[in-house]
Amino acid sequence: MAIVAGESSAGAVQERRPPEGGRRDRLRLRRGDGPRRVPWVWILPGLVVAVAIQFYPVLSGSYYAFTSWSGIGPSHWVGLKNFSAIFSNSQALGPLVHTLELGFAFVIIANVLGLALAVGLGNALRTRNFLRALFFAPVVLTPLATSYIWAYIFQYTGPLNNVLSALGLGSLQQAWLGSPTWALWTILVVLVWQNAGLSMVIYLAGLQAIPSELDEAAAVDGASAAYRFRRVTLPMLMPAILINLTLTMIYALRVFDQILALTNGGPFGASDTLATAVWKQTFVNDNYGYGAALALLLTVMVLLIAAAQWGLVGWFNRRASA
Amino acid sequence: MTSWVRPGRTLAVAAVASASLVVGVGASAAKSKSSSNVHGSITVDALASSGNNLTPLQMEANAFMRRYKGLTVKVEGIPDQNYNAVLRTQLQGGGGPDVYLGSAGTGDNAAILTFAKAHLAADLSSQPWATKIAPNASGYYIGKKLYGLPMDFTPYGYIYNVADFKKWGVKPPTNLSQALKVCAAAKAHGGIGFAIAGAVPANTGVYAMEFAQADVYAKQPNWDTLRRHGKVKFATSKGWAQALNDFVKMNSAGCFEPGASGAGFDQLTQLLGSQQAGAVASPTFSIPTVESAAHLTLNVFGGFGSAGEGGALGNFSNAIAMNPHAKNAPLAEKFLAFLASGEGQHIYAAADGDPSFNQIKKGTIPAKLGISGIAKTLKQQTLAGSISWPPADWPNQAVYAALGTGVQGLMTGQTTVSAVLKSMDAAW
Amino acid sequence: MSYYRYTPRTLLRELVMVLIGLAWMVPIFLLLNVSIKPGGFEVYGSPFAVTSKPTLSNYSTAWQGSAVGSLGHGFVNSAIITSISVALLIAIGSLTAYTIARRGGRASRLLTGLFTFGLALPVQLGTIPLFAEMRKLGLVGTYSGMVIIYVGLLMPLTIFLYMGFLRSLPLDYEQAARVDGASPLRIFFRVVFPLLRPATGTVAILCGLIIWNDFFTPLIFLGGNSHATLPVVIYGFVAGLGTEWNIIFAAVAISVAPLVIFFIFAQRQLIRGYSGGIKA
Repeated sequence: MAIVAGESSAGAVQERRPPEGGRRDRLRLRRGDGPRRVPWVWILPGLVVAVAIQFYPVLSGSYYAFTSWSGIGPSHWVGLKNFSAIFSNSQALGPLVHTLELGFAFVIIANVLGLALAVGLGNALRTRNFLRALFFAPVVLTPLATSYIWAYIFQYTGPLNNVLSALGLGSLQQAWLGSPTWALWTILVVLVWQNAGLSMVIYLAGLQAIPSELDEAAAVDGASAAYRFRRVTLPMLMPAILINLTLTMIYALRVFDQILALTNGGPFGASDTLATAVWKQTFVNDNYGYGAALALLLTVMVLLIAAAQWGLVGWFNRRASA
Repeated sequence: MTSWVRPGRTLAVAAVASASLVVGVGASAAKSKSSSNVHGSITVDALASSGNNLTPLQMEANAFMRRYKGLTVKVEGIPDQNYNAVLRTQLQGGGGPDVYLGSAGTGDNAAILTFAKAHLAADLSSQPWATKIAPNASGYYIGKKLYGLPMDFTPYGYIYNVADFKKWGVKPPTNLSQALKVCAAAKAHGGIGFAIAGAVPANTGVYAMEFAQADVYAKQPNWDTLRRHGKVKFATSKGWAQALNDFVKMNSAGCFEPGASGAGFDQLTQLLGSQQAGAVASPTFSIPTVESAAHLTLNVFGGFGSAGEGGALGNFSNAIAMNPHAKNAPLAEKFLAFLASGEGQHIYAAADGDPSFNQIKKGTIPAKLGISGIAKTLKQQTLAGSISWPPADWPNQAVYAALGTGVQGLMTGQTTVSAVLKSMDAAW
Repeated sequence: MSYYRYTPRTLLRELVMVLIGLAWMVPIFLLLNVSIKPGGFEVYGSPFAVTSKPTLSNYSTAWQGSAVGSLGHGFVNSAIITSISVALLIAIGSLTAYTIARRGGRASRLLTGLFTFGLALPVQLGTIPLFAEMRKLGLVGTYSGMVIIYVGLLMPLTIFLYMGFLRSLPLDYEQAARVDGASPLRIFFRVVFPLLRPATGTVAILCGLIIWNDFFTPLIFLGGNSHATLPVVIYGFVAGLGTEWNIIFAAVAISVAPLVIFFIFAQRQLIRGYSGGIKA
């Protein structure tokens, strides 16, 4: 039986599952194995290194969000002024909207495409191993290298426009990375191309965990393929969906080196996201305090959306098992 | 082939107009110093930006180590897009190199005076070579204290393809209407008047500054001083509005390449190198590299606007500073003294494709630098103390960034001239 | 096994997938195609036309490296840092996750929450304090410093991935071992860790890729050229040569090749490993 990764954060998912023997045993074991229990001291190395390298530096760095620090020299406490500046400044709204647009579009497309590829490349295909490697290849490419390839493709004199004019669609030619309308979506294309393979592999593993007898039984009962997918495959796939949603969402909201390399957030901010705005404010514009406040805001957003995702998956699961 | 602009220098510096740069002092001064306490090694942070070529500071380090056996100068080349962030983080975190490449003034993330105010650049006033730098040179001094060693001089202007202009039957323009004629002539011959890297604020910013030089600074050289005192503003300056409107006119007249708003630096090289584009606004140090790579002859003309000629822009953008927490201060000082010497100054300027101060002043700029077109103006302005790169003296990098991205927005129609100028005031 | 029967519809599906796969490879084709073009302005010629004068000289130029360092040097640096960091992440992360998962109770829930929170933290805000900390410890400019940083930064992700898997791991084996009188340490190494293999595969790939491709951290903590990692060397080509896409792309091809070869050979394990806790 397939069970969830990341279910840690979505206990509800499992709560509603029909109790199984294994689970009862586990509970009993946890309560009652006395002196032979796993010693707490085992968590020390992991906890210490995470606190020393991540939690402590980030927390002490977060202090700057409440200062007017330029990024160098002494800093002055300003309380919540940076946060109120963010919310009162309509310019900060652009990156926020772009982050959400890019984030949602990426999560949906990467997952739908990843799932479609995984289903399409099921066990029956003779070329499946080759094709899987092919779709996975962009995942291992350095993000910067990916950006260079695509920057070349999207150049005004580049391959994409060449193809368009060869197809007689010359009127569609444009400066993709320099277009206020298209810049953000060219970035989306690059992100999807690079990451759909990762989603695919996680879905593949999830699909392989589904016992084929289940699907066959439903087929024998005369259920349509669409019905089987919705009522059998999808609910069984929830764990993989949850991992994928979490990983793609965190990735999409925080990605910035590809954006900097492709458009630098331009033209005129048309593809600036919160992550690129944080980079620019902290390291380019001498507004470290403001940038730090933006970064904290982004963190809150990531946590809220993650919680919403986990809640949604839990709700879906309960409905499916009802 | 070449990088058109390096952050450390794009937003560079101020007029060291009256600075009389040293020739030949440092090395002897360094020798006279007891060398018994100078030993070991230092690290130097520098840009890694010349492809397979050695960076100027690496060449300096090699020459230094050849001269002084047993001493080690380790140059860390850091890619330019991250240079400022890396340097800042290291210095702010209490570490960093012993000596580093910064830019003069305050208008850049690696500006030495900004570091100096944060006590991250050492006071160099008592160095043996320091007295050779005039006490009023802006961009290097706070009060009477000196915080950097100027290296080569970086002129800005329009780099143009001499053969193209000849073929099109045009001359370097001295005002906007002539420039528009250049564009029309280029089009008639299937070429492009001007190439612009619209996706790179550092390049769009140079265009804006060329117009500002003609429309603002040529008439009011002290405009920035007035701005610092709050007597004028970008948003209410007729000259600045004129400058950006001139740019808009160039843009709507089709002076730039198709798809310009998405173009990067590499397209500049491509368009100029393949003889499609006639001119590019840029610092001039890229000329020798492009010339030799593409086998053409380039020259430079100065800024223009609807008001007429603007002359040249330029500064000593490359400033070498010393970390006040240097682990090996004696060796760092010895290396600085070498850089200040005639040999050191010559190595740097030659490696960078820039003239040295003496060459400008004496009118002996080497022909291979390809800047004969502005040599005379350069000399006049330098002697009159009226040459500068204004963004270097602006209070932070955000102002120039607002200008650069603003120009981008003007190209795509996302913003207006007055909104760009307002955002510059806000960043100030 | 009607499930796997090869029907005409399967053939159709196969053809469609192959077509999509080919389209997916267009950027890679362009990369390879440009990487064998001689320099100069032919690089800007038709991107799809295969050059009449293919050359491998770009590869040897790329191999010699950029101003920042040689590719081979970058390789060695990246390989050392990545392999040691991943090994430590697996060792420490699995043990930590195992303890949290098996102890249960409020403390366990708190720790789970803490590490999950760590997934979302804005790491960049910690850069300056972290640099100061590492400098005081004398770890700046050292491989061990880099390894410690990566282990700390990726610990939350590692634990997130292990935790999910552990929750679904049946306790029967552990229980049996316990009945036999095995110590917790022995149980972990002999029983649990081997069972965690799929999660370990996930951690190795995800964390390995993040470290292998990281660009900013090594610049700050290792300095520029002397310890340049692979991405730093590759970036050196761009900063330096600007337009010489043929050499940049050759460098990219060289840097990616070992990873793609690794994936082709390790594919079956990886796809199983990628299950990230989904167990058949």
